[in-house]
Amino acid sequence: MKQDKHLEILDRVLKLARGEATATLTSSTSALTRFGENMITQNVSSSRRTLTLTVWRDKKPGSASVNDFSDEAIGGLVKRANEIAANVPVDPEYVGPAAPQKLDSIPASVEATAKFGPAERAAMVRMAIDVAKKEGLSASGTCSSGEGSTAIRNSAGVSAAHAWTTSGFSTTMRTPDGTGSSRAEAGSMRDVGRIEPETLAKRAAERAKRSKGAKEIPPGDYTVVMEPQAVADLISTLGWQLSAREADEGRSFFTGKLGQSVCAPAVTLRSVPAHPDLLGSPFDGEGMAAREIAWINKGVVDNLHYTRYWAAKQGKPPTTSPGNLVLDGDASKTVADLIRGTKRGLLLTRFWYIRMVDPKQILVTGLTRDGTFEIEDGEVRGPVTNYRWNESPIAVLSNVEDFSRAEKVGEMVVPGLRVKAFTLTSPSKAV
Amino acid sequence: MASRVRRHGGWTGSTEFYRIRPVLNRREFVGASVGLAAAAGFVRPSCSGDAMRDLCEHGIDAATSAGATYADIRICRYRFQNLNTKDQRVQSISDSESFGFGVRVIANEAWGFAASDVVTKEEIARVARLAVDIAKASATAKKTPVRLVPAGKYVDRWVTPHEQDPFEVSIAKKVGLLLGVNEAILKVKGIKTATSFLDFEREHRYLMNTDGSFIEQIILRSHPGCAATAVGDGGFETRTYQVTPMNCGYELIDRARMLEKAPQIADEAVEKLKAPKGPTGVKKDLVLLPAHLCLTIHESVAHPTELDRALGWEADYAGTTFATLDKLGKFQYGSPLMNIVGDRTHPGLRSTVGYDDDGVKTRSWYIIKNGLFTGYQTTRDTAWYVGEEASNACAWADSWGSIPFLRIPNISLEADPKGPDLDALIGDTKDGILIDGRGSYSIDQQRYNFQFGGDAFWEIKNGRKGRMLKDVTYNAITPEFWSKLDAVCSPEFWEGHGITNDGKGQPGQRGQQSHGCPPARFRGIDVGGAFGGKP
Repeated sequence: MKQDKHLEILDRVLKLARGEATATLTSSTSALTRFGENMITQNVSSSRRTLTLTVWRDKKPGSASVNDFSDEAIGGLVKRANEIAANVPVDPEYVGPAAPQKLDSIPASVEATAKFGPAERAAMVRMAIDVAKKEGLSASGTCSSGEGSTAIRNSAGVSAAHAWTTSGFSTTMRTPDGTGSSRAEAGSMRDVGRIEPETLAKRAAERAKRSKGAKEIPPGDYTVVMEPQAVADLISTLGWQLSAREADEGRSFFTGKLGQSVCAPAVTLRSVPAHPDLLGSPFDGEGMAAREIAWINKGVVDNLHYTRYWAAKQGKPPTTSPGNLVLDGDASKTVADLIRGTKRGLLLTRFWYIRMVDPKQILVTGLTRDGTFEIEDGEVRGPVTNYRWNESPIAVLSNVEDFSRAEKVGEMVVPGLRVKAFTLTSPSKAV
Repeated sequence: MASRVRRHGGWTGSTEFYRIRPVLNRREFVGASVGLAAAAGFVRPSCSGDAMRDLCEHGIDAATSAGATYADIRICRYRFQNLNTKDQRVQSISDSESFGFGVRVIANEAWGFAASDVVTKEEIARVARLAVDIAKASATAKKTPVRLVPAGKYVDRWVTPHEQDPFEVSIAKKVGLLLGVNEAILKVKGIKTATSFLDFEREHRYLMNTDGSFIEQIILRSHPGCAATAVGDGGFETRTYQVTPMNCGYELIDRARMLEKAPQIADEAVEKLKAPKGPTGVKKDLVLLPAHLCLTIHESVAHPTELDRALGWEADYAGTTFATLDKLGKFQYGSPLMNIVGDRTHPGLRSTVGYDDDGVKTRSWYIIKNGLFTGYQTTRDTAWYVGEEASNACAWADSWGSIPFLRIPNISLEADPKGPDLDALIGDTKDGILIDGRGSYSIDQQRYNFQFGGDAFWEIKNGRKGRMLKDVTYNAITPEFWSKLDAVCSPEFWEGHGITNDGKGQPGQRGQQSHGCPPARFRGIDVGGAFGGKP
């Protein structure tokens, strides 16, 4: 078994390294077929390995990596890591290798995905191109598949391995005159069999046509219905802001907010590695168990991310980094229900080019993209032009009026939202 | 598009810096570089040129035997060394080496690519055949056959001119420098955190293609930087000393003089924290310093003029462009002071190499001349779409494992030989804001609507540079913005700042390039839109 072989290589590395050390080995093959203007434009497949060693010599760390498992390469790797450790000061935040923990097993590998090849990917792409040609549109997008594994061993007894497959399909449909565009995607799918390229293509095509002839609206605050893709785009920015240390050192929005209410009581935001729609890794880069954790629970900041060092310093349990974010929704509602409940507002498909403006308020900026529509009396009316907006995910989660059922969007599970007072700043002609 | 990497690059100092004087002539390069090649990897001694040629030929033969009408193979060894420190701690030192190859082919008039890091003849042949299979799969959804404009045939070796190999400098010296810089920053009252870093890269590449080229290149890259964060009543603010990343050796680190600059950076962080917020809902004249204007050029000039983007090949990710094919030679992109040059030849700049990954010798050309849009960035497979029979050498892959495709080269704003010096430009500005360094940045999917922040801001009132401001952003629509360019400083003020994290492509790749410019002024630009002011 490949994983046994990998653990054996790591064993060899640790034996040669001696003393306190952690070694990880990642191996993957990823392939992607890319299309644009109704034709395949690029088509790639790449196999690679990475072997990383971290050593501690009297609390002085040294780390290096190579992509070769020969004795010679491993010898060079150990030498390099030791050389670095010999030339750095004692680490004042030394924690050393992590102790073994009980790990969940998360089956994240599907054989059909591992076997998916260039012919199968091309067939999926042709389905989307056929839809585009029938509708008089131009299709772009990607079809990807791949497999990988990670193994970790350390001198404290950690020994773990995890394998996964992943696949995805995305397509952007554009009108020939470039005034209409929309996009649909199924990302981070462990099982390629669950991807429906024709459904995605038709959804994007239909919305692209309806997005033509967009009218201008004035800047200001609007009630918006965000589709799950837009919610995922925005909420993912929150995942970068949850460091306990930054908060404790006065360098974060969350300074002084642990245990405080920061948004609506209906908001619960968690990391759930074993979620059946996500199937993330059961351990992190140190071999620590990735457990479910609630960052925001019913609007209150329940947890921030503590590294092993900061946790020990502050007398708190360590947590793994925020990933596999899950925002609770309302299983009884659909996005269509949110629209029906909107007197006047806008429907937002997704966001683009989101960047931090002011971390003190978690103020970010971005644009709408791929279909922005007016809602009046519970019905979607005509398309409006795209807009640059400046907003905070915290403000959005405070101004939320309603939720729909949470669904997988790439590596997150999020609902659609209806939110009031979303700030559109300046119009963009971009389609 | 610059990716969300938490790091900055830039420089506020003498432009003497950017005149890299090649210290050796070409013959001496080869001699000196033998030492470089021998020290190439910490894993194993570098394979000889002959061994590489042999492996390359094996790959080309396997590809053509399987049906490829064009093939190229790159065998590359990458070395990365990155040191990161915070306060008195070494946060991380990573030192990695990656060796592998990639084969790119045209078969049945379509592209295929495959790569692996098992560098044996057997695996090279397997991967070459896989690349051809992939190309044949591409051909089942073909529309326009792939066509390459001609390139020369070159057997050559090119090495980044440098004075000191950064990988020969000890870890101890590097760590000592960074911790010393942090200590100097932390001495300043009001400072909570100091960070500093060093980044070095070496790419040792062999390229062979069916045009008969066999090209060896060694690219060396260096990049230092530091930052100070002040924490207090106003919250927290960071000031960054942005030293531009360059393709050169350790000499860049010495010239950056971070230790000398550290107190000023710290003082400015403290001042920035206490500074009043910038104005909102008004228009100001903006004087943009090179460390800042670099990114504005990147987003609003470099990306829109990528030809593959204009052809619709980036539509599913970064989008398309307003600089459509019909505008070439006709569209007034900006004021007559706007002269934009594309190149991969300017010494020391981040995209400067001898040959691109299509095997084309690098060159320079005008993208915008006197404000008129005159040229795209091109590759062998895109140039003919705009009637050109030669490529501008923009093909590049960020790894042996990734496919070469069109990447932004160095794209720079020419200085004005009759332009003012910086003091005179400020002296001529009545109501403005001076902006230095990178801050927030965001632009739409056709490159029209953008919003930028910066790292440091000062009021300019009646020709005098005044107090610092914080929380300043400006918004504009690209061609309107560039039409308001009304002053460009003289050549002594030109600086070649660089980008190390240009994200493009699916799967995503990392591009690196420089956008040189002198300080320049833009009249009547909307400020403060991000903070609630009406645009």
